[in-house]
Amino acid sequence: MLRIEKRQTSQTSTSILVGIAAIILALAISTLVLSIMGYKPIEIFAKAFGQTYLTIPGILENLLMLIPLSLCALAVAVAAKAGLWNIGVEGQFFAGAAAATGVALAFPNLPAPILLILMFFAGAIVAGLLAYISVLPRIYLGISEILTTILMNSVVIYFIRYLVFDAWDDPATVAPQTAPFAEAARLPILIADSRVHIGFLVVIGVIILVHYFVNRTVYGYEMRAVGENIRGAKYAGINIRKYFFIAMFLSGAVAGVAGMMEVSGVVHRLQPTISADYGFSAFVIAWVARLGTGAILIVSYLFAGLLVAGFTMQMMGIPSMVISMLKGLILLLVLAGEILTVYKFTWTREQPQKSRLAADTSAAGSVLKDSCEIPQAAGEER
Amino acid sequence: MDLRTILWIIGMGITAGTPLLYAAIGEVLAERCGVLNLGLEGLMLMGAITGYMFASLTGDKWIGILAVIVISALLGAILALLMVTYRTNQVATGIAFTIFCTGLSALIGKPYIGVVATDTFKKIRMPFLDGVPMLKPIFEQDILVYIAVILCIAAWFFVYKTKAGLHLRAAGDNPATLDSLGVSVYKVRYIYTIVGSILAGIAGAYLSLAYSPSWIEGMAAGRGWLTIALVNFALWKPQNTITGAYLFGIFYALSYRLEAMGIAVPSYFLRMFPYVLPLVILILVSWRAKQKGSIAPKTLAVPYLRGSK
Repeated sequence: MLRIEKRQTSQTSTSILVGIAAIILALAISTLVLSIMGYKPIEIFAKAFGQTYLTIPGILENLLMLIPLSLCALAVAVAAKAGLWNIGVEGQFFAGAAAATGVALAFPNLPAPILLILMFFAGAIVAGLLAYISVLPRIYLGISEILTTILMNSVVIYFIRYLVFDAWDDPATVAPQTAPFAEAARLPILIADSRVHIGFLVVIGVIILVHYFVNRTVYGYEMRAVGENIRGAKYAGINIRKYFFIAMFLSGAVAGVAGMMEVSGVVHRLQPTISADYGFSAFVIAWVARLGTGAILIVSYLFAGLLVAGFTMQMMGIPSMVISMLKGLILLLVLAGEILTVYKFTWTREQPQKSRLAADTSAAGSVLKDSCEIPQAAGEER
Repeated sequence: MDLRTILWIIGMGITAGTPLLYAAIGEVLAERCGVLNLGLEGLMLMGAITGYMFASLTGDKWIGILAVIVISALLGAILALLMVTYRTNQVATGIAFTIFCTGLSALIGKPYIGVVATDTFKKIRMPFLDGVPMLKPIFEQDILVYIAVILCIAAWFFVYKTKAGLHLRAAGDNPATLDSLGVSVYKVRYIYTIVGSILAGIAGAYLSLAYSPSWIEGMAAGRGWLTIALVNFALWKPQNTITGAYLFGIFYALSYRLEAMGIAVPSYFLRMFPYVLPLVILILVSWRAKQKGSIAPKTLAVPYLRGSK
């Protein structure tokens, strides 16, 4: 008879193997789907991925794409550490971009460092507050933050359209966009002859800071305690509301910084198309990286390549939506494979003993379980 | 705003609310047995393209609906395999599934952009209403609107008045007890995840075959997520979904109508209505329900493992 036991420790090596297997399998399934539909995927995949991962211009484009992706994924992970689902990263990214644009358009004559710092904090604070507002219904009424954050995305995107079509529209161009930023509002280029800007260093800095905060400070420790076991944290006297605020504000702020750097470092104006579905991509990256801050950087690089390759494929005649399918598929397969890393399967002859089977019901750690018990968890806080 | 306009908005709201109603009935069943299916948005998109594809290939809308039922059941079975058998995290699974379906539906649907389906669902003429033309916008609806109403009543009867309905509720509130009575929790959860997926698929087909007969990439436009809010609003009771669905539908109608009336607010703010107003309503309802304590199914989104406490 098949016996299922929970592993005492989750094994990193198994996780990595599962991740690699998921990517290969997802590529195989996508190839199959595309072949059935009459495309020639193998040569196109080989060419697009070759260009993206193996040539210098491709790698530089990946590094550029990595900047918003890794920050957005970090935003998802920070919220998840406190047991919260931030599905509103896309909206927070845009909110940060809009706030930074507002500052850039209002004070074009400030000296560069001061203007950039102002834009940075405007983006971070506005997006952080937006994220915090989205979690208030959860704190006070037990309404799932999944709903509020995801519905806020649509609201923010219509507001951005209002800005670029109406309020801040650049009369000099037909396209829906604001006027270009002054030179002082643009982030300097980091690698000569490429578009990779100084934001890359900011990414490294933010990841180190967040990692330190979450893993090495008392605040981070208590925040994780809330995420892992909200009831236990409450009985231990931890102020749940405070940590929901810290986690969600920090999460939104990180996403807002990503938005600020996209307008200031790459596009140099606000456009409704600055995000290539970064919100959902970030969700996939964060979960494939199993919320590890360091792993996010590596997985972001892989996914940045995926998005960049998607643009190349589009030029070769394969709809770019195939990348969306691939992303979803990879995460589904990683989730399915999780059972291999969390549980151990053994064949035994004798009947299973009851105590052996008394495993935890949650598959992927308690962040998942507790954060999903929304109504009860909220009930506990009252 | 005169009476005629108000009746028009209500009628339009019923049409716009019908896809939400189908999906919400299905999601209530799934959530009541403990499965939080966040793949609705993806299932709707797949339903929309499957229905549209088969209806335009065969020239028969009912074959389109039949294809939607088959494909959605298959997709639902995959979701159930992941969430019930593999006990994956239900939130992450649902969102990943939606991302996957967004891509897949766009890929399949590419040749169908701009293709006109010959056979779509039309409003049924009600000759006996000729005397009261004002009521026509409300009662002259397509057949799927009426089927949704019947389904909603049937779901209420099923959940509260039948033994299978009792098992369904027990699977969500007290799975271990249900298991000890010899009813398989896994089986119950499989069945309603699949039923819920089929209904979400039909909701999508309603969009592409009745609401705005065509295929557009991402045409569900957040309706899947709204449905999750709707189920919360309905306090997980199937009979409440109809009120919520029509109310949310009216928000859509209102945003179009006010735009057409040319009021001074920029249309971008009116377009936020269908997303903001449901949140406001949900907050008000939760405020009132707060005194009564938790109403959600007790093991919602908690995977079941036989033998665990």
